[in-house]
Amino acid sequence: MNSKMRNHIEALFEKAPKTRKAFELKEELLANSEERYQDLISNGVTPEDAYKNVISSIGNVSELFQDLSDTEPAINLGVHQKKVAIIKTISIGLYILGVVVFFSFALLGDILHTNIDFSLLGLILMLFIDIIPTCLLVYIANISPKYSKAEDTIVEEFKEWKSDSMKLKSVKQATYSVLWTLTVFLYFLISFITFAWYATWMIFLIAICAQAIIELCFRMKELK
Amino acid sequence: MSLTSDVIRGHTEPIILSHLIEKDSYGYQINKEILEKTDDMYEMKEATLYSAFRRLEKAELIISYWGDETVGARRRYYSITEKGRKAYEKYKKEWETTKSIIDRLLNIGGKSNEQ
Repeated sequence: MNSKMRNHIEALFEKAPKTRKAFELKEELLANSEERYQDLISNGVTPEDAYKNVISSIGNVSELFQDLSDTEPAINLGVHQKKVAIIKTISIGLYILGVVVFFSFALLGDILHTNIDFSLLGLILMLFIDIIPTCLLVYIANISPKYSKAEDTIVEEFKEWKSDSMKLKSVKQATYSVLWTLTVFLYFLISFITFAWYATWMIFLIAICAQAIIELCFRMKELK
Repeated sequence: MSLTSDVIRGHTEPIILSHLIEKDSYGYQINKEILEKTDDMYEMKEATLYSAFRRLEKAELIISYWGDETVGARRRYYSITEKGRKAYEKYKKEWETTKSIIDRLLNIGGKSNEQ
């Protein structure tokens, strides 16, 4: 194989993405170029002319690299989904841990046969533990890949807009689910501690208010 | 000449399929056969050919496999799928229609038909 030709092809692929597809394409191009070169030589063409012929027959390879990099975001998306799944699992685990901590502390007084009530301490600890998964869930809702414009067309803009609004929707949903889980939990918790069942239902009214406020915030953001 | 190559380039994919219907082939061979069939009038750029291969593969009209050459670089062979054959047949019919419309609109052989 003409080393000049090989060098030329290697140089062409310098800017190509370093993917398996790109390497395969290079190998394919090398094989075909070599055969073309050998054919030309055996037809009596001088090596210099044969080299020029082969190079000019390759054409514009940059359009090919576009195809090769197409596969990259797909791989990244897979990695991203895995990350999201792990974070979600950890979050749920932490919520459960919080509940376990609370009940452990609540029962601690009985186990130690003392009259000290540890349940308030348990509650505070649980709330502290719950901060982590809540932050994680908000974080993953925010890192969802934004649809990046591939072409400057109305269709692309529509896709981008759709992707944006979908993302916002998922953040909203996550916030609501955290809000209501917390509400129900706090309702039972406070009720069992205080036995003030006649008053504790008010917490649901507060939650509805909170939801309305969150909704308002999202609307304001959408309008921007 | 530029009209010719532009029009032909638009038909790269069915041209490849028509070659693969006869037998499995690889890039350079297909290009060589195109050159022979057109009496050296038309030849595809490698880049054009490969991007067409990639599109056809994505659409599952062809599949590729590596040859077992012991000397030199390995060749990448392409083979047409059942889906590819169907697409080719459909394309052929569409081209017949298109050709007859263009012929009529450009009055190629149309005058004698009308009289």
